[in-house]
Amino acid sequence: MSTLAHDFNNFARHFPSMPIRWIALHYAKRHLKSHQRIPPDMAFMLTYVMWADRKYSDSQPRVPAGSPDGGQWTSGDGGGGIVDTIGSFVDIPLQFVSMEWGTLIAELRPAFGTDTGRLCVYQFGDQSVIVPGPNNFSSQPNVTWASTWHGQILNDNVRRRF
Amino acid sequence: MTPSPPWPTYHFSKIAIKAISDLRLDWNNRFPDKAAAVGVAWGTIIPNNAHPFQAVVISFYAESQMAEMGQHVVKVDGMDVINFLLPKDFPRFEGKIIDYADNRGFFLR
Repeated sequence: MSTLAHDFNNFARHFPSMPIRWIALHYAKRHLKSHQRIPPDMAFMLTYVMWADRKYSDSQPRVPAGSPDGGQWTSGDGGGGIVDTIGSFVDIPLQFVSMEWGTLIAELRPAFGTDTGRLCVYQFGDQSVIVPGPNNFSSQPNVTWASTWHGQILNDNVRRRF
Repeated sequence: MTPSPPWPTYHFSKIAIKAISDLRLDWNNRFPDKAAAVGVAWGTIIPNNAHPFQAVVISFYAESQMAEMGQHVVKVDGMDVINFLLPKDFPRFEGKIIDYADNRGFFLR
């Protein structure tokens, strides 16, 4: 299997509810920032992903959780689905970085005279990040979701520590 | 509370510096108040359906905050950094390298 297909497999398994077109667009955005242009082979890959996404829709069944292939798209008849199909066309590395930003929603300050710092609470949709920090200067208004991937694996809609 | 100087001594890997640069571009595309100094914190992540865990949290202080924050800026590997850290977390960072991997985010090693 190509590196690209392997990475798609991993990502699809980790984010089984995420549309493949979102992955493709995200990748294109990241690549453009680094390289200013999309090379022809990548443009072909992205075009193919967009086309295949229509074929393998978001409502298409995935391989069940618990399976080594859990989360991948499947045709339901044992076929390889979009990932294997893409793998037969291209072989380029694929990287992901999240660009979600959490917003500061609360600053919990301790009672006067204590030395425990304060707690800044950032909200990412249904998840929160709590950052303890000093009391005598401001906190950051936003933090990035990319910074919160460490320490967990994402699989079959369940986030687990390792 | 006054931060306990000196701040912990740590460095960024080249990959982490590149990731921060990418995040800076994304911040500047999203928010009108441009990114200035890098904020380094140690946060607790609370997923909706799993156990909390802790990790390095990277962000930015915006240009409008720098008049207030300038005195807290330190240079780390050529970048302006503001440590949003409590003294109890200093040992986590002392002598460490903040690295980055796409499937891990920022982490200490």
